[in-house]
Amino acid sequence: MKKRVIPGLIVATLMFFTPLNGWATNGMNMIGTGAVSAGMGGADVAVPAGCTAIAGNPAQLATTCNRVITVGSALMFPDMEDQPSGGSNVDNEFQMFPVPFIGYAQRIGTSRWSAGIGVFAQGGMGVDFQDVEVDPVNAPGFKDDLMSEVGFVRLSPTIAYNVSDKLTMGASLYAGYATIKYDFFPSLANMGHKVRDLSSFTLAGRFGVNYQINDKWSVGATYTSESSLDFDDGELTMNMTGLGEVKYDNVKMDGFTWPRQVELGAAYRATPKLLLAMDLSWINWSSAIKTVTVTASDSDKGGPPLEIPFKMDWDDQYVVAIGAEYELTESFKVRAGYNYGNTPVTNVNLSPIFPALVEHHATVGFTYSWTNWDLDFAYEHAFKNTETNDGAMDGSNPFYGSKVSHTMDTFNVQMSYRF
Amino acid sequence: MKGIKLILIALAAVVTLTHLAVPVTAGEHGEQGVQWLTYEQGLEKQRELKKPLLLFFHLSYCYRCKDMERKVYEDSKVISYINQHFIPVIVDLDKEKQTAKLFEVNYTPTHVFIAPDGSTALREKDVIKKSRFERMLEYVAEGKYKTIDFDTYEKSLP
Repeated sequence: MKKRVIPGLIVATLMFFTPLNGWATNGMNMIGTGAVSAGMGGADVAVPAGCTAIAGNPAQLATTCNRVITVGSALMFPDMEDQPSGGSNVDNEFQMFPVPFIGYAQRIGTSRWSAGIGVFAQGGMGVDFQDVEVDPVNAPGFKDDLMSEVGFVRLSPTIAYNVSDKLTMGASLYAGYATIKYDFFPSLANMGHKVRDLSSFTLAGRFGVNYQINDKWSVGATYTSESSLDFDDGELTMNMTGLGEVKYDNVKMDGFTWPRQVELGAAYRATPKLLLAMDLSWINWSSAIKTVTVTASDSDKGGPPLEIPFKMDWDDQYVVAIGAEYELTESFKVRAGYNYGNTPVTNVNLSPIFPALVEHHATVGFTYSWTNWDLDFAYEHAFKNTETNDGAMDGSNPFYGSKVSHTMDTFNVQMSYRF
Repeated sequence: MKGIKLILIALAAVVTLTHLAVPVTAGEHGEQGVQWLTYEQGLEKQRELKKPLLLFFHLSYCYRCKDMERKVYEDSKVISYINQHFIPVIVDLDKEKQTAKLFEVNYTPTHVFIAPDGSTALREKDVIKKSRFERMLEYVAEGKYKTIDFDTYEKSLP
């Protein structure tokens, strides 16, 4: 009985925290987890952290030393536009996505080990375009909807060890749960469809290291393994000529993987009150997102088995994050950051359903501390980026000529208590 | 390629920034710093000088301990006051487990003030604001702990 209850609790926890994300903005990843990292533009690999080290560099958990609990959330407001070739511009419907985080960490007894556990959103994406012109040239006036929601949350037990006074190491096990649903012109006969309830569990890990060179400099690195996502148990509906609305129960999605990632970071205590940090990251989207294929069988009206490919062929992403933290008073720190990551989306396969387009981000934030409490806040602005699909003008590229724009504002707030 | 170029530009920017930034120098601290002793050395000196002990419990990799050192223990006014009125003792929880156990400390940073008669005059934990820490130092150095508790003392100040 116990064996069933514990996995059930984990599943329930992950499902509760699964975000309905707007674009998380380094591709599908958040630029940083928690208000401290976000305020620094995501530059957190070599910066001491509390619980949020669970989602950042796990080696930083070793510097926590006491018990700390952190609860917070990001609130994302994406803004997207889609203009089909020869058609009119459509704005994304208003969307607001909460992305919660909760974590706990502590030193283990009087040892050099620390441990923690947290639930956090690794990222995700989502759009909601209504009344998009499907084919303005050949079928003027025919409008339909495009919608997508991808959420990916991770439950992460983490352990960290102080190898020496300068060297710390840490490792996180990432038990992930992802969900996908989307609408692709659902009224369009024999081609358009809706997919619901695709979900997948996955395991991955992150290893991190940090080295304090001297009082001013520290350097760190992390490696995150790939999370292979095998979505299944979904439903698909499609309008078919002669059959009407056909429903499929056995729906799967293959070829969708959360990528491996390498991060290098450095932090420099420039003055007693000023901390500078920089991270460089490589996100291996090119191995993770190629052609995503939805397959469906077991229809209710004898519809044929379906195989629907979405050619995406994302590029690898290189991310530069720069952040600064300044202590204005003993209780009040301010932060600012900048984050650049080239869009992994290739223009030949650009789709308004999966438009991870933003590249430049500016962030500001603060921490107010009193007694054993910290209140952290950050605001991120992802600057608008517009790209045009310049792929082949044939049936394999339904969004040929579409111009897609993406911008986003995100607010992060979290509270930490040490005891 | 665009991404790699940006990374190189960012690296150059950080190197430039770090050279422009004003470094921390020993001179900024006004003097050599707090004259920390080991617990045994501190006890011996207390018997000789009859001053209160200030015990600073820390871990070498504890970032909040480093915050406390940077914000408070490296301040020239605090350094002078501690060196003049106290016998400062630093205790590493990893290396001096017996001392940590003796004072029942498992949280870093923790600050314990021991009066010349061996009693605990004041005990606080975590990073403490400099202004408050200065009040703590005065409270112990002036012997106020003999008559009132620290909260009452703080409230009585103008």
